[in-house]
Amino acid sequence: MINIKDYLNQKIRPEPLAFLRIGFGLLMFFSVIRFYYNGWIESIYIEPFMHFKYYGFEWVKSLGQYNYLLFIICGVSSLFVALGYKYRFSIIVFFISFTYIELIDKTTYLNHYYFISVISFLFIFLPLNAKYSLDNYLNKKAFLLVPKWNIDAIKLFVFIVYFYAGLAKINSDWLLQAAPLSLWLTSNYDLPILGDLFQKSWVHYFFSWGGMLYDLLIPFFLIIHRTRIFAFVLVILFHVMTAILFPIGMFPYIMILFATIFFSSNQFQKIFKAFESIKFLKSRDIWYQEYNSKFQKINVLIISILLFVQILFPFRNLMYSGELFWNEEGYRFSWRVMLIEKMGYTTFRVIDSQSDKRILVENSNFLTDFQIKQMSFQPDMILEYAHFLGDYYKKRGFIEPKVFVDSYVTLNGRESQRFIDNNVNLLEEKESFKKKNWIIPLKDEIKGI
Amino acid sequence: MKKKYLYLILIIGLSSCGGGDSDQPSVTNDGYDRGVLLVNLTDNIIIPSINQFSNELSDLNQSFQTFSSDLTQNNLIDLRKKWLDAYIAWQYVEMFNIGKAEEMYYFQKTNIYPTNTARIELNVESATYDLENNSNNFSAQGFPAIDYMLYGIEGDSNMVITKYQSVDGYKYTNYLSSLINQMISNTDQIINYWQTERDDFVSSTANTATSSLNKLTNDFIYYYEKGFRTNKIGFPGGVFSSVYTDKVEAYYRKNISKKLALEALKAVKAFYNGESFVDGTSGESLKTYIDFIVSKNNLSNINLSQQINDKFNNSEQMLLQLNDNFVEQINGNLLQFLYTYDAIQEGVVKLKTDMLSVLSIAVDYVDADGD
Repeated sequence: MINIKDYLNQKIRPEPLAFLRIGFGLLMFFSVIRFYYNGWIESIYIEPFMHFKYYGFEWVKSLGQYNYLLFIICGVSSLFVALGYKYRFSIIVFFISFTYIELIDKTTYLNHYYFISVISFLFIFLPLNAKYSLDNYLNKKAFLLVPKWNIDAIKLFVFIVYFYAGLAKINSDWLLQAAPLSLWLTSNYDLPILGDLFQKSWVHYFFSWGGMLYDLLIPFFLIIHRTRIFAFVLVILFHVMTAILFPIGMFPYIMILFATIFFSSNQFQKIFKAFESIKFLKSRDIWYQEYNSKFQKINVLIISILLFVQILFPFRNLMYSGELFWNEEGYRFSWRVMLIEKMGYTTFRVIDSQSDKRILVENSNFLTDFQIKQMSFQPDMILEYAHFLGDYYKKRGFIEPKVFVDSYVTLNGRESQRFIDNNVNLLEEKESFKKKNWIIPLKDEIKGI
Repeated sequence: MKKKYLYLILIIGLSSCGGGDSDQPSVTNDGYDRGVLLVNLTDNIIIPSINQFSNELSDLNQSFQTFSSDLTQNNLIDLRKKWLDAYIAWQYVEMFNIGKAEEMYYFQKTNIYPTNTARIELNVESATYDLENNSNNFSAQGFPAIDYMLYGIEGDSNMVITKYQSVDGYKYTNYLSSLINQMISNTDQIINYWQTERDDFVSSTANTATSSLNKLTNDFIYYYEKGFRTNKIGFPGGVFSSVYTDKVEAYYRKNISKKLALEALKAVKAFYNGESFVDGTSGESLKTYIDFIVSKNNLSNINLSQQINDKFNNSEQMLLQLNDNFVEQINGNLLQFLYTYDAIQEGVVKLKTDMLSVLSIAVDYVDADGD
């Protein structure tokens, strides 16, 4: 027990936190700009006729045109975070606005969006503005030392993300079939030099095994002082490579940034030397002191719970029988990245049991192309859409609608097969954490974690 | 562009730490030349199909000239025959809704049915109409409109002739002339497009949302699903809601809906198998491309390319059993008609799931992380 107390009282220089804060704020600001530039605010959050909701967050509504305001708030708060201006308030605003945006529609779910939500929540409780922030000058107060466990908490979270992503790759599709990487790499035939290489089978296996080992080992190599530089070079190479090969947006850059948290304060000295030589900043009086949060105890408690949940939550799929990649029960929020190539074709029949009315739904009347693509192979989205259709046609004269679905899905290059029981009236099924018995099991077995 | 720079940096980085072993040029090909595939599809299928269609339109126009100067029963018969020939030729063109065709709404101006007869009558009467830019006139031109003009304005061919001979007959003749000329000038633009764009088109072998192979593949699937399945069978059969017999293709002529559908399916099969429009020899195609990727990646889905052909063939067998006249088929045995739809639908499933997944055709929506 004393050891823990000692550990919690250990102090460390805050440079890594300052660097991370500036990098994070700027990356997030850039992300928001990029989102706007690509027209995604419109196409993802405003255009769709309906939105797919996370279970329990049905109350989160799209704000229509005011979504732009939400993005502005998100962008400005991320800039404030970078500057370290009213840090605590800014990071709270960022966390809320960003997470609200993500909750509007789960069609766009990405692991790295979830990562940003969790990490920005964690940041609320950490003094990322201890040094090199505007707050220092406004409050005439900066901190030379911060609790070591503050930085360790971030390290642990990054560790979980990598390590769990590696664990998830230990499965027969990934390691024995090199699927789905073989499909994706082959399709990059148009890259000069590497394009030809990507056609070779051994390269697919090399990337699959390499990716698995990279995810499992890189956190250790980052922790160990002697291998850190080597590991960081690998991090950059690996993520830049993924940025080129796959449409994964900001994710590679975010992970490269977070790998820097493993460097010691000394290694940041040079960067901040330049910063400190700025005359304006030099001339201000700052009272340096040791950081002692009034809320130390509660901070420890909250962050411990958060990390504990993060350790356990990704394993919740073990509570469901059946093929995880097929059923996707407990698939999200678990750092399962790049594991499945799924393509679905799903059509809905609405039948009125009180009359002879029937409709074969044209999905594009209600959903965007992107929503159709994502919905077509994800059971919870199929169910939600079925209920949406039931309600919709009830308002249009169907007395007692029933909704049936014809759904076919292909997984990792397998032959497509029927996905959902076409004899089940989906309106009688409710979303819950219970096993979805109306999913037709995959006619194959994927071994692994 | 950004990705290109990133890639350049990475390659330089790799080669500088890899000891320069990557500076030998990559003469080895991955074994599949998408350029050859595009050349085959473009030179042996797309362009000859459009040229053939253009020839049929010329014949149609000639026959119309004869008819308009001499309104006889025999000339009407010939005009109707040329209309049917052109309509059949069109079945080999409709799926290439790409580039200029998409831009100028070529398909919409040629084969939207049911045709809007009220609009046609309005245009005939007023003699002022814009077939080029007014989208309200999409459904008042093209083959379905001519179908109405040749078969629908009166009950039988004698009465049709009489109508053209009547005092107001010249108005109908003029409109018919406009319809044919519009199709000819549209098609000239398409031919012109392929003449100028052909080289760029066949050299666009990359895997992006806008590269030729991806657009062709997506257009092909879209046509099979919408132009073929939905329009020819789904809508009239009431698959989506109620039965609408007036939604069959060539509604006024009546007994050729099946023939047109069969021709369209033939065009689909030929495109998929890379069979030359000129001499029927097979070349590189989606089929050979699928086979290549399936075998190279050792996928369990080894029969995919054949399964797709099986679905097409099965659909063909189902179509062959239908009544030549879809209106009679629907009124007589709707269920058989709907079973045909289901057979076609099985092909859609294969194309939209298995094939797209295996070919990893890039579709740019938004970021993804593969889940």
